[in-house]
Formats: sequence, structure tokens, C-alpha cells
Amino acid sequence: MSASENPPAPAPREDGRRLAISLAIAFLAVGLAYFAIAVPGTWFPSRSPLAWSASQLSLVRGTGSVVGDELVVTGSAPDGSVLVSIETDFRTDQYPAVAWAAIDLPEGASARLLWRNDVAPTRLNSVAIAVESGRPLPVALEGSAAWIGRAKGIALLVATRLDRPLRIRGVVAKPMGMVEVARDRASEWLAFEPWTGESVNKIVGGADLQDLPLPALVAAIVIIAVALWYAWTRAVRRSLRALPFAAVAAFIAGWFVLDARYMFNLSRQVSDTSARYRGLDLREKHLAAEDGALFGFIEKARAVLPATPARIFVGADAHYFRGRAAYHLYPHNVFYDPVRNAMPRPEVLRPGDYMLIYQRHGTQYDVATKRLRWDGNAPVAAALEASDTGASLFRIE
Amino acid sequence: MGTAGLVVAVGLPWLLGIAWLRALSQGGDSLADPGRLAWMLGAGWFAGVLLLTLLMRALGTIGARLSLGTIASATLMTLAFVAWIAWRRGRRLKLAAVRSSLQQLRVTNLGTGKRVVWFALLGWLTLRAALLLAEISTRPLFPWDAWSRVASKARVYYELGRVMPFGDAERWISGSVWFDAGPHDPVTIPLLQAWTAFALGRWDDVLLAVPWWFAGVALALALYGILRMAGLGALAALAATWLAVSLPLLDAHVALAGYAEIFLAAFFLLAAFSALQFAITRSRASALVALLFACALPLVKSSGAFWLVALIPGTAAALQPRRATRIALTAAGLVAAALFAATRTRATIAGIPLHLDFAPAWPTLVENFLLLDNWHLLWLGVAAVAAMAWRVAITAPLLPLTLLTGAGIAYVFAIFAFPMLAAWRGDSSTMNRAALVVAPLACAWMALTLAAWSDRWSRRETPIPVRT
Repeated sequence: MSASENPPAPAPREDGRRLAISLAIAFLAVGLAYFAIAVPGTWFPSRSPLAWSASQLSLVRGTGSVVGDELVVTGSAPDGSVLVSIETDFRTDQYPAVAWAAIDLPEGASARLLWRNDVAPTRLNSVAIAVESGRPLPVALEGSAAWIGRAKGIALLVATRLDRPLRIRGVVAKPMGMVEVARDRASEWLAFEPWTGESVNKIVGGADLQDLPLPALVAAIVIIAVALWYAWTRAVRRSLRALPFAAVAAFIAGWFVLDARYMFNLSRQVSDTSARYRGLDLREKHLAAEDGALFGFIEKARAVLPATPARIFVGADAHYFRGRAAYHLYPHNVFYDPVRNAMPRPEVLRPGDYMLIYQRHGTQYDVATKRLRWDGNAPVAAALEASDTGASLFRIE
Repeated sequence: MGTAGLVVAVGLPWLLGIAWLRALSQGGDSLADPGRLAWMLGAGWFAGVLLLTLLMRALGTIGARLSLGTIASATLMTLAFVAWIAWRRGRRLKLAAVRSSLQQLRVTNLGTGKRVVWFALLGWLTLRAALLLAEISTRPLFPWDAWSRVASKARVYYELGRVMPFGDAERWISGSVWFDAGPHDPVTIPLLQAWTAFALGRWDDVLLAVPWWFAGVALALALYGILRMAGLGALAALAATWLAVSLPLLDAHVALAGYAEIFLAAFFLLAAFSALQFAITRSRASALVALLFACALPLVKSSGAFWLVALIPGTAAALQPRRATRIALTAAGLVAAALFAATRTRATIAGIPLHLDFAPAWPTLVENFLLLDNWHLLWLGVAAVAAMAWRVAITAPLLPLTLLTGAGIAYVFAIFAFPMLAAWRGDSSTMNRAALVVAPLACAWMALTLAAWSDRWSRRETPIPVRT
């Protein structure tokens, strides 16, 4: 196994110039091909986007108010939904996309765009809005049978109960010309992708949902550029000795584009992490982490637990909290079900064992009789050692 | 104890690994040789981590209490012994050779343009390393398995000063063991974390992550050293190293410390190249190095045993170059036959069904390898090199490396095509995490094959006459 000292073969300046031009042509060709597919109407629409600010929106269902330039929806309506609407009057064929500017939608929220048109004014039309990182994505309505005539009012319906205030900055009807499509793609590629539980398994490379993933675009440009370089070099009857150089240079250029985007995201992540944890000691960092409230309770529990390792059963509805509670409790001899929300059978408990319950339904403790029961099992004698909102530590007696 | 503890936590195993590698180096090896110092520094870190954790296991086995004192004493004694062997074998570290090696970083033999690229790449790599260090030295342990299967054990070992047994639910209820989400996982990585905690003098699950940053740096150094020792030019080797360490998924495993995959990837790379080195030197010392790195695979993660098997065809081909082609075909045939047989059987062994269904999810493969940014353009590059340079890749000098890389990729493909294989492996980690193990080796293969192909291409007669 050995390799050349200076691979790939040095390329004359002319080969480099041909490659640069090939890359530029490939970039333009791929870009134009994409726009031909993705731009729904005219490439350079004369109309500007129509935008409505938060102060123009009406909160039909839910509670909230305008704070600054945002409509802050603090609570859902009794049926668990939020409805925000705006009176409009524009030609749908000139504005094939609608984008709501909102943040902090609940995880996995069901959101829909509603509208009426002047063709069938009594009929309420709707289409699902994809939500990503708590933000609604723009909705392309080109081709929708109900997106006809003039839009006489549009609305945002969030059918999932809010777990934190929803902030809406406004809504924009977009003519979706080439510039807007390009801007949307760029914003998808450059969207901040913070660390999540899935980051060790998958790096998306920007927004979760992308109409045109950047790696695919770059790969297409690299392949086409090398093919162009090859064809061009043959056509002008030049030597193909620099083919390895052309292939490697195009590949490295493409890789660098992707890596620059990644580094940009990483620098934002570092800044985000620093803003959250900088200047805090270890305990404060844990309190500031995603499971800070749980950590706070475990601190309380540890204060009453014996110094030597005790047997502790952990119960919580969410497997994340079961695992995290156990992690904070080690080196105590902790047991939890990593997969199912299951509790131990009462007969496996011994006097002196502990049971830590965190945000779990189906567990009752009778203070008067000092009896603990869960999931309909026979009650067992237990003493309450520590408690907090939705959290308790019991010692089995 | 923070910074000083970290220096001890990282420095002691590193010194042990370097001394061990130096003691087992060949007589003619000089640290002034291109890449030799980088290899020793990079591979030395991983060797040191493994040796240190083996010492901790030994201490646990003889019932000694684990503490900074006992572990450091055992490590220092071993270090002294290994250094004595190195001295006896005449493998002393010569400062002049180290200085000469470091001067190679100035790449004075390159032209101005290439030097600019060289220093730009070094700067880019340094920036990445700085960002990753800033991230991991700030955030408490974050990723799921890191706290549910790894640090759980480390905390128990550290706080109780013993390698306490972990077992499944039934054994836990009987009261003899501790429990976590991966009670049967190997203890190497938890022991590394426990050692870091001992050196720090406290359980600090922010600073526990720092060894993962060193793992990333050491992987880069080892890969650069390997490529230089294989004859690649300095700039090409650095570029290939950048490709490997800029893989977003690999960076995620550095920044979100606590998983074993980056160690598995490093040991797979080191074992592969040490095996090739052994095939050249045929010395017992080289065999020991290759064996240590190969044995590290199952010690780091249960599925490492499968990676160990993936090393066999390439190593056999390197040891028997005249029969390399036959070995390659036989290995491919055996694997295909075994997989085919598994699709036809309904038998079970120890409760694990042998039956496998061929159920590839092609859209998932395309999404993960080509559309998402897990790998930048790695798999496109591997496919392109395989398509353009396959004739070179199967020539005698490169065939063993091609087989090593191919076996790794074939294993990843098998995981993808036969999802039930997860039950065999005792590891349900995703296809991407399996691919991460072979990714650095794939970068090395890509660079070396491309270099050889480029050499051949530029030497061959110009297909079209140059217009004058």
C-alpha cells in the first residue's frame, strides 16, 4: 500500500479555468432547472408580497394580546384550539403561497391554514401546515382546487393545546417568484439546527423539512461540473491528464460549501450553549438544563436518602424522566423500566426500599394510613420522605 | 483540581500509549519519518485509553479499591516498565527527530499556493477543534445513551471505588447487581469516564466529556500519520484528514460526548492499518499492536465483535497476497451464503431467531447517505472513486485495504438490508452510527485509491494529443 507523493497530477492553469467555468455553468444550470420546477408562476412577479402585522390580526379563539410587534397567545380556548384570522382581499393566482410568522408552536402541533374565497364564500377551506422547530412552514397553494378567485380572509388554526405562549408576528401572502423561492431555500439551509436527542443519529443540515437538500444540490453541481469539464476538454482536444485534479477540486469545493454551512451552525450552537450555561457551576448548569426541575427534586431526595446505596424504584410516565431520575440518583441502586411505563409488583419490594415517583399518573398515597398504591395493585405501607409538585419519594416499610 | 486533574486524566494514559507504541516500533522507524510522530500521538491516545482501562479491570479483578492513587500508581508502574522495554530495545524518543517532524508542518517543500491551502486547512481544523472544545466543556452530559448506559456505570464505579456488576431486571431484583439501560454493555468507556472523575477528584459530567475531544484530535492525528506513512503527500493527507474529521455525524459524537462510536471508529481504523503494517513487517511487535487495536473493538462495544470479523478478509489478503483474490471471493461468497441461509431458516439459538428478512428501506438509505448532511459528500465520493478507480483498488498494493473498507461497508449494508441483524448484534443503534465506524477508514481508502489512480492516470499515454 503506497501512494504518490503529490496526487493528483498538477493541472495547468487552463484546466483550472475550465473547471471554474464548468462549476459556474453547473451551478447556473442546476439552479435554473430547479426554479423551472419549483417556481409556480412567473419567475419575476411584478407584485410585492402582501404582509399583515400582528396588530392587524384578530384572536378569535384563545387568550392573548399584542405585545410589541407580536400577538402573544397565552392560552388555548376551552376546546384546546387557537384561531387567529385576518380579513384579506387578494387574487389567489397572484399569491400562490402563504407564510405565517410564528414561533413556539407546541411540539407535534396540528396547525392548519383556513381561508374563504369569493367563488364559494360560505365554504371554509383548509390545508395542513407543516410545523418545524416550533415554527409553521410556508404553505404552497398552487394546484389547490380551493385556492381560486379572491381570498376573502385567511386564518391560522392551532388544534393542539399550548404548552407555552405562542407568538405570532404576522402573515405574508407570497407571489413566489424566483427570488422568494431562492430565499426560502437559503433560509432552510441556514436554519439553526440545535442539538437534539437525535443528533447522535442524524444531522439534517438546516431545517428539518427541506424542499431541496443542500447536499443533493451540491452533489449534482459537482457531478455536472466534472462531466462538463471532461466534455469540454475532449471537445477542444486537450489532454485529459488533469481529470483527477478536476474531480478532486470540484469535490473538495462542494465539500467545503457544506462544511462552511455546518461550521456556521456549530458556531451558533456554541453561542447558544454558552448563553445557557456560561458562568454557572455544575449544580446551576443542571438546574438550567432540560430536566432542571427533576434535578432540583432529586437534590431534595438525595438529602433524605442514606449515605450508602439504597434500592430505589423510579416511576414516571415519560421514559426520559425515568432515565434521567435514575442517572441523577446513582450510585444508589436504582431500577426503572427504560422502555415501558411499568412499575414493580408490590411483592418484589422490601422494607427499606425507596420509590421515587415523578410526574406519573395512577399512583396514590394515603397520608392518614401511610399506604401507597399504584396501577390498581394492593397498597403497601410507605412513608413519604420528600415531595414536590408532581414528585414524591417514599420509603417502603 | 479542575485543569490539573484534566491534564492527569488525559496525559497519563496518553503517555502510556505513546511509550507502548514506541516500545513496539520497528528498529528502522524514526519519528522524523513523515507521519510517524502524528501516528504515534494519535494511536498512542487510543492505545493508552485501552491499556488504562485494562489496568482498571485488573485492579477490580484483584479486589483493589479504585482511586486516583491506585490507578495512577498502576499506570505509572506500567509506564515505567514499558519505557524500560523501549529503552532496552533502543527505541528512545529523540528530540532531534521530534523537532524535525514538527518542522515538517512548515511544508517548505510545497509551492506558495499549496502552502496557502495547507495553512488555511490547518486554520479551519483549528477553528473546528476550538468550537467543539468550547461546546463540550460547557454542556452537561446530554445524549441519551451517554447517561442511560455509560455514565450510569461510571458514576457507580467512581463513587463506590469498585467495578460493580450490572445485570438485567431479574438479577437486580435478586439484589446482587446494579441496573441501567445497558447492563451488558462493555465497561471500557464507563471506566474511562470513571478514571476522568478520579483524576478530577469529583463527579463532573461536563468535564467528563473532554476525553471525547481528545479522541477527535487523536483520530485526526492518527489518520494523518497513517496517510503520510502510506506515502501520501502532506497536503493530500491533511485534506483527507479534514474530510474525515469534518463529517457532521463524527463531530456530533465529539461534541455530544459519551457514546462509544468514535472510539470504535478509531480502533477499527487503527486495527486495519496495524494489520496491514504487520503484513509488511511480520514482526511480533507489529502483531501485538494490531492485536491490541483489534481486541479493543469488542471491549468498547458489543457490536465490536462484528467489526472484528470485518477485519478478517482484508488482513488475510494482506498476509497472503498471492491468494488475495481468492480470499476476497471466498469471503464474499461465505457472507452471501450465510445471509441467504439466514433468510431460509426459522431456527433460534439462545432465544435469538436466526431468521433474517431481506427488507432494505431504500428511501431511508438515500435520505441518510445522500440527502441529509450526515456525511457531507462522503458516500458520493466513495461511490465515485469505486466507479472511476476500481481497477486500481483491486491491484495488489491496495486490495487488502479495499477489502477492509469493503467489508466494513458491507457490514453497514447488511445492517440496513437485514434489520433483524440488530438482535444478533445486541445493538439497535442506527445505520448512521454503524456507518460512522467505517467512515474514517473509508476516507483513508478514498484518498489512497484516488492518489494511486491519479498516479496511474497521469502516467498513461495521453488519450487525446495535446494541441500545439
